[in-house]
Amino acid sequence: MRNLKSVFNPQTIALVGATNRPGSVGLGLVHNLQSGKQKLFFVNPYQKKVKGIKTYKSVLDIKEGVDLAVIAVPASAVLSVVRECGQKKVKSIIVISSGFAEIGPVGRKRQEELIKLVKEKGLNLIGPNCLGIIRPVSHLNASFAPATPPAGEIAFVSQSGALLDSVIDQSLGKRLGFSTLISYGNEADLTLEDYLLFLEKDPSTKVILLYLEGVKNGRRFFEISKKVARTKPIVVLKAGRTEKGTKAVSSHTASLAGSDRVYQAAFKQAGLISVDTLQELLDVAKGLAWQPLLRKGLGVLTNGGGMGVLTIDYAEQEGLELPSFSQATIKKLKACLPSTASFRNPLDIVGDASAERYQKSLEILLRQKNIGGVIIIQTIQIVTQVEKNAKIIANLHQKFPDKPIVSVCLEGVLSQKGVAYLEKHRLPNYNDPQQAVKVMKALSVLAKHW
Amino acid sequence: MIVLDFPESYQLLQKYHLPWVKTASFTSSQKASQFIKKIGFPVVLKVNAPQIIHRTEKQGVITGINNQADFLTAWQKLSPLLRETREAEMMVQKMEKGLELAAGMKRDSQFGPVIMFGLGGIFIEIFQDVSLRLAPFSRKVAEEMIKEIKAYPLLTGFRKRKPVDLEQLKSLLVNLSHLSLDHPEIQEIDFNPIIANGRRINIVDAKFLRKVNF
Repeated sequence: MRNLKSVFNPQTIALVGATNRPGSVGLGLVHNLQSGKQKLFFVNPYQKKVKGIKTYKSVLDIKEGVDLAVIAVPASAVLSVVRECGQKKVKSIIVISSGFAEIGPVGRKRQEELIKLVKEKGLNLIGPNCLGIIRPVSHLNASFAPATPPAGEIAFVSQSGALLDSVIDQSLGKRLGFSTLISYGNEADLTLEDYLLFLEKDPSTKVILLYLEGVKNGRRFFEISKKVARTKPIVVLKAGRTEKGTKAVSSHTASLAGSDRVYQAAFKQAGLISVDTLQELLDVAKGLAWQPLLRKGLGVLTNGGGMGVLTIDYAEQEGLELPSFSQATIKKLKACLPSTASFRNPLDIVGDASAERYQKSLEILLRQKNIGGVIIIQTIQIVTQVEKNAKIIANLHQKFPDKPIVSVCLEGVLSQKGVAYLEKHRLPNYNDPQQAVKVMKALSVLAKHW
Repeated sequence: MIVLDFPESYQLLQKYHLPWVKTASFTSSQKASQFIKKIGFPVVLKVNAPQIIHRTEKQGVITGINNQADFLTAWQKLSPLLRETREAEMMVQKMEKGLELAAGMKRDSQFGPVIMFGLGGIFIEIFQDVSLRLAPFSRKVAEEMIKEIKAYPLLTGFRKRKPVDLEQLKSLLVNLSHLSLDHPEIQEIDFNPIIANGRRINIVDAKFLRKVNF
C-alpha cells in the first residue's frame, strides 16, 4: 500500500501557478488552499505577489520542506515543474493541468514522460487532468472546486471532477458531510485502487462512493474493491451503460469503457452496491453513514394509506422481506389504535394520528423480533406534529440502536423543522418512499454480504 | 481463431470433470453400431469437422434415431457431408431429454474470463436471461448465479419436472471457471445445450475457440 499521508494530511503545500487573475483555476486554488490550515507557498515566476503574499520563482527557492505541490500550469510547462519538485524532494504532487492522455497521441506521450519522471523521483502523483482533492476532516482543500463541503464520514471518489463540484454545492448548508473527495483524473500514477486502499484504513471514512466511467485495470479493481467492501460499504454509480453512453465515455476520459453487463457482474461479485442515479448514490450514502444494517424484515408505519401502499410496492419490487404482525403485536396495537387503523404491514395509523399514537405504534413494531427496521411515513395533515414526532423517533432510535429507522416526509414549510431535527440526530429523511426503500435495500444487502 | 476438434475438446472436458453426454466419433458405421449397442437408443448423429461451426445450419445433425434401421438411413444421409469435408468424422451421441441450459466463457479485455449461465437453446438469444460472474469463483457464487436467472423456477421442479441437481450444476460452473483461468489460450467456450433431467446433467454440445498462434 502506498503511503499517502503527504497527500491527505500535508503540513506544507506549494501551489505552482498561483495567480491573482480573476476567473482562473489558479486563483480558485489560492482561495481553497487559504481556507485550510496548512503552511502555503505560492510559486509564480511572473507575479511577485499573489493575494499580497510574496511568491517564489521556483519550488527550489522555498527553504522549508514541501509535503505536497499542487501544479496548475499549462501542460507544456508541467514536466519542468515536476523535475524541480523531484529535486526539491517534494513528497507528493497533484497535477491539475489537462493536456495529457485525454487529448490524443501528443498528450499520451507527455503523460508517459510524466510517469517516467515521477517514478524516477519517487513522487506520488494525483492526476493529471483532475479537479484535485478535498479532505474536510483535515481542513484541506487542494482543488478548484467552488467550495469546501461539510466534514463527515463519506468519501467520494470520482472520475469526473465537475460531478464532484455539483455534489459539493448541493451539500452546503445540509447535513451530509464528507471525509474525502478525490477527483483522480487520468490515474497516471496513483490509481483508483490506491485511493480505495487508503480509504479502507482511513478511520474518518465510513462509506465510499464511486463515480466511474471505466477502470484502467478491471481485474485489479475487482480484487481490491472486493477486499475493501468486506469492511466498508462501496456504492458505485457507473456511466456509459448504453451504446451511445459508451461512446461519450471514450471521448470524455482516457479510459476504455467495457461491457456494462460485465461491470455490473463484477460489482455484484465484489460486494459493491450499484445504483442508477446520482440522487440514489447520495441517498444510499446518507443511510449507510447514519443507520445500522437491516438484518431482518421491514416494517412500514404510515398516517396515510396511499404512501403506505406505495412503500410496500417498492419494497416488494426490491425483494425486501415484509413480515406479518404477530398476534402479540396486533393485540398491543389494538389497545392503542382506533378501529379504523389497519393492523397489517403497512401499519396505517390513519390521518388524525397524534404524536402519542406514533410513539406507541413505532415502539410496538420495533419490539417485534422479526422486524429489523422501520420506514416511518408522515404525511402532513392538520393534526400531524412533525417536530414532536421527530423527537419521539430519535428517542426510540436510541432505545433500539440496532434497528434502522428511515423517515419519509415530503419536506415543506410545515415540516422543515421536524425534518431538520431528525437529520441532526442522524435519522435520514427522504421526500419519496422509493428513496427510503432503496436505502433499506442497501442496508439489507450489506447485512447479507457481511 | 480455431475450433478445437473432438479429441482435444474431450480431453479438456475430462480433465475438468465436465459431464459430457456419452459420445464417440467414427468413420465406419459398423463401429458406430457397436457403440450404440453399449449406450442404447435413442441417439443423435452429427457430422463433426473443424470447419463446421453451426451444425444445425449445415443440416449436419439428425436427432431422435430410435433403432438400427433408422440409424443406417441417417448415416447414409449424412455420408456425402462426411466425404466432402476434410478431417470430418461422424459423432454418435446418446440422446438426452430434459431442460436445456447453457454455460460459457468469454474473455473481457478488462476483467478476464467471464462465465455465463442461462437457459439454453434459442432462449439465450431471445431473452438474454443470463447471469455473469468473473472466474474463478466458489460454489456459493455459482449458486447465486444459478438463482439469479429469471427462469430459475424451471430448475426447481416446475410442473412435475424433476428438480435439477443444483450441486452438480454448481460443480459444472465452478470447474468451467477453473478451466478458463488455467487455459488462457482458450478465448471462448460455449456449452449449449446442457441437458438437465433431475440428477442427469449432460453437456451435449461443447465448443472451444482457441487463439491461432498461442
